[in-house]
Amino acid sequence: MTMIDRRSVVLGLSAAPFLTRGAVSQGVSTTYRLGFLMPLTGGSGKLGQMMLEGSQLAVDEINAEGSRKIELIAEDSQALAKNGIDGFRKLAEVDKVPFVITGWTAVVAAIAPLATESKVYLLSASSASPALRSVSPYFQSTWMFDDETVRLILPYAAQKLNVAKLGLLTEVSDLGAALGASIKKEWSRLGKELSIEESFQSKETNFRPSLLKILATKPDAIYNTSSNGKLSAQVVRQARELGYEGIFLSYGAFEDPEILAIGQKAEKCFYTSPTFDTTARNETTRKFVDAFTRKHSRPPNIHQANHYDLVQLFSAVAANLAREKAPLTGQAFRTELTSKFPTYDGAAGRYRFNFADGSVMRSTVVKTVKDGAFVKIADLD
Amino acid sequence: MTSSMLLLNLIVDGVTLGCIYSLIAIGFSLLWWIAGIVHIAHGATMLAGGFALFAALEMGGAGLSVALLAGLLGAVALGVIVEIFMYRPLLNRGTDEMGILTASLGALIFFEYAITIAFGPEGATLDAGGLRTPVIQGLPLVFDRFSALIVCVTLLTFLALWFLLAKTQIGREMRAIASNLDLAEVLGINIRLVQVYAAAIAAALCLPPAAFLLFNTGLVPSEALHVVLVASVVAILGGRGSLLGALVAGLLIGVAESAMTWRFAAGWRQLITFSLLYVLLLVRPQGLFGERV
Amino acid sequence: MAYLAHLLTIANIYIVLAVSLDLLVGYTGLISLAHAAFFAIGAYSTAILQKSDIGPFAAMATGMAVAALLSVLAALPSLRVRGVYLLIVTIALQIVTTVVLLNWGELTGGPGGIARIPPLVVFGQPLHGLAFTALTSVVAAAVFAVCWRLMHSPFGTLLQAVRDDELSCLMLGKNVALAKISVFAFSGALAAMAGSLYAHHTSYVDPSGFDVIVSILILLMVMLGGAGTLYGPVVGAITLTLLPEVLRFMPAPPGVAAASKQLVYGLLLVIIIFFRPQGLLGKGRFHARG
Repeated sequence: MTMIDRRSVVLGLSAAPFLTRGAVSQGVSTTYRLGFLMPLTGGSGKLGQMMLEGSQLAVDEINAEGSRKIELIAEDSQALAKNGIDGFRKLAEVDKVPFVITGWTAVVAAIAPLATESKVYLLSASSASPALRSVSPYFQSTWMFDDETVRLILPYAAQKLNVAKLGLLTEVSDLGAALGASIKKEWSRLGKELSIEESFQSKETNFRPSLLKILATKPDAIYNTSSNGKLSAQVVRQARELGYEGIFLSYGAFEDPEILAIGQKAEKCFYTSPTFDTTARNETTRKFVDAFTRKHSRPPNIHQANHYDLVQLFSAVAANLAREKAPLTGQAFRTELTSKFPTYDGAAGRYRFNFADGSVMRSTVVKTVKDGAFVKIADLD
Repeated sequence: MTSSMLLLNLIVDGVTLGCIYSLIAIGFSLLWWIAGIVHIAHGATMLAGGFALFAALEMGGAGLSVALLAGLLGAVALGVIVEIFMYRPLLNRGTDEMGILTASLGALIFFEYAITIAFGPEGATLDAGGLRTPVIQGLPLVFDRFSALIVCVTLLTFLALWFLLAKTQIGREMRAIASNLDLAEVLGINIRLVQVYAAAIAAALCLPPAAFLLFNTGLVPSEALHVVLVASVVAILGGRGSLLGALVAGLLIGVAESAMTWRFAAGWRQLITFSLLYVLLLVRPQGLFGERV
Repeated sequence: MAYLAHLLTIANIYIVLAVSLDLLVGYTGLISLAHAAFFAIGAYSTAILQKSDIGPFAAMATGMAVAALLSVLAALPSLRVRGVYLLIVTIALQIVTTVVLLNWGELTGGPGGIARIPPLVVFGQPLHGLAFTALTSVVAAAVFAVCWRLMHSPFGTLLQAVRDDELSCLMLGKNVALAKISVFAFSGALAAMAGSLYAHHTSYVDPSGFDVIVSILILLMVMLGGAGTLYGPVVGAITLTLLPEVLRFMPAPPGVAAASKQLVYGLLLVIIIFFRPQGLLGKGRFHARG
């Protein structure tokens, strides 16, 4: 066995110059495939579709440049583990993609072991559960884990929004449990007590009983852990209908079109988000914002910027590998990314990766809903 | 707010929820009583009514009364179509109860996903706006005008239905068919026609609960099966042939589901509904007010 | 190839499910929409017990035993009510199971489920891909053979007699209650075995894989192929496993594709009842009696 291996390596080395010449003459015809495994239908479907717009824009730009072709293969996970596994198997085994853009905690947790096994690299800009820390050497998050964002928003709520009594509404899920735990820890570190903790099912539509229980404790603010825009919008709307006029706290997933659909009721909601300024002067951001606005006649949001960045990052790593004449496999991608890209400056700002546990640090802001739009109100770091 | 005040609020909220359950159950029950059809597709007629209302209001820009009429037409049209083109031919072929039930389930799934394709899986929600102000200002009791409306409409609907069944010719014919099919035939009642009326009335009864859901928690296509299941539990719990039973059973389940969150996590609510059903069928299969199985 | 192996494994697992449900639906005339609940019990037993060191086969056996015991819960109402009432009771059991899976987080992992279930190890050899497909094929064939023997034994004849005329069976002094309880328990245990294999195969279990829609799908497999034949459900299981995969490769917007699959299922149900109530391969009239 060893001998054959050694021989094939030698053969491979000697054949390399010919092979590369062949590859160069093929030119544009080298097509890189990347998987996009996200909810495209269901309660998170609208958000997933939005994210696809960001990624698709990057694919179109790169293909227009002509130096290489990228083919994006989208599969619908519906944010469910089962569909995620089926979709991942198809991407990895039928389409043979080395790299998949994915998201949502349940899906990532389910496919991470498969990714480790099949050496397919996963990047996510839409999973926030700290339970995903070190879930796989083939998983890297580009979205801050929520225990870190909780450490930013709770002190802000206590000091700037004068929140003394906090109610906690957790979704029964990995993410909900992890978030609930970090909120309780952080809030007691601030020397405060939770007034109540209530939970709800991910398919629930009637939150009135849970909200009645929370409102009975007269909280100043309610932290809602749901990552599903439709659910969060329902929670806020039903609480307002029950006469609650206080604050809602949340995190990045709150920036969802469903929230804006409930109009004025969504005001007095505050959440953290990575810094993304459509008016930023740096060239990457400006180019992206212009191109997106041209294509869709509306400005992009943070999620579209993130998913645009993911494809550009993929393309940059792939370009490096092509220069080094290395084949684009999940393994090579991982080596190249972790050795050459400790940080990445994209349209949505700077990503500082921690490859040891798959986490990322980004500069963070507090945003709120004002006059039917998501607006930034403060920097957090 | 004290703990007992919270319980009171939960019960009040449970009553409005229970009213919606009763309304859905009564439409479902009508075909069950009269034609022996387990009308699973009732969930689809409710979706049809709700989404016709939504489409007229939001997309067509119609006023509320026109939109309600559109919803009524949507529900009745689908109910009658299912009766004439599915139940009728199946009954004519002598298809048994389970066969009709399976076809009805198929029809529910078909229309549910047809609506999903047309309106998207997220469903529709509308805002009750000004109706969400409390009936009596300044009380810690959460009882708004929308909830009051639900309770009033439910009571009126049940009264009207009672009047229809007890005092009108068509109602008497329906009851005759329900209690003894052969005798009704001998008496010269046009059974086919009466069943079409029953299907139309059952479908029309979908409109109030569909509208209430639309303005309350939202109308989601994938909820259709679950809604019918709750309706069937209410129908069985209430007992075959009993209007009062359906009303009481709906309220009972609504209040039980809501009140249990006083001490338990909300996620366990459905456990109440279905455990109640299980125990009941073991000990009293004819239901609370029913006379026979 | 690996993908094809995956599909065949899934088809084998559904064959076990459909054949075991046919014992109830086709042979005994008891319609059940709780089969996915027993499927879940097998899958979750394997998922939960993999952390202990009792080994995969003991875990599988535990799941089968628990499912057999809980099947008695479904069987009890069937002694008093039938038809629609029974159907609704089984749906109730199915929903209670889903509620428990979702809410008993410490045991079941809640909506997130349980991940990283290792592959099945047979004689020290972890089975992946085609090897696991081969194993599930053997299991499916064995289940079919055992059920075939059983349904053509005096026990099977008794079940069919109960289906066709329960009153006469009672008058002949047959123990109808015991027959119903044992067929429920046997069917539930087989579903749990399928669940255990499924857990090893996907390496992941969560409540959405075992909800009432899955129960409906299994019932549809039985009825499409032909209830009361055993080979009919095999054909039904293969057809309905492969059909959506064909749809997956058709060009349609993702949301529409997923919804049209369900829409086709609904239409199929209606068409079967209209034109071939006995199923594709069924012989007589389909007669689960109300």
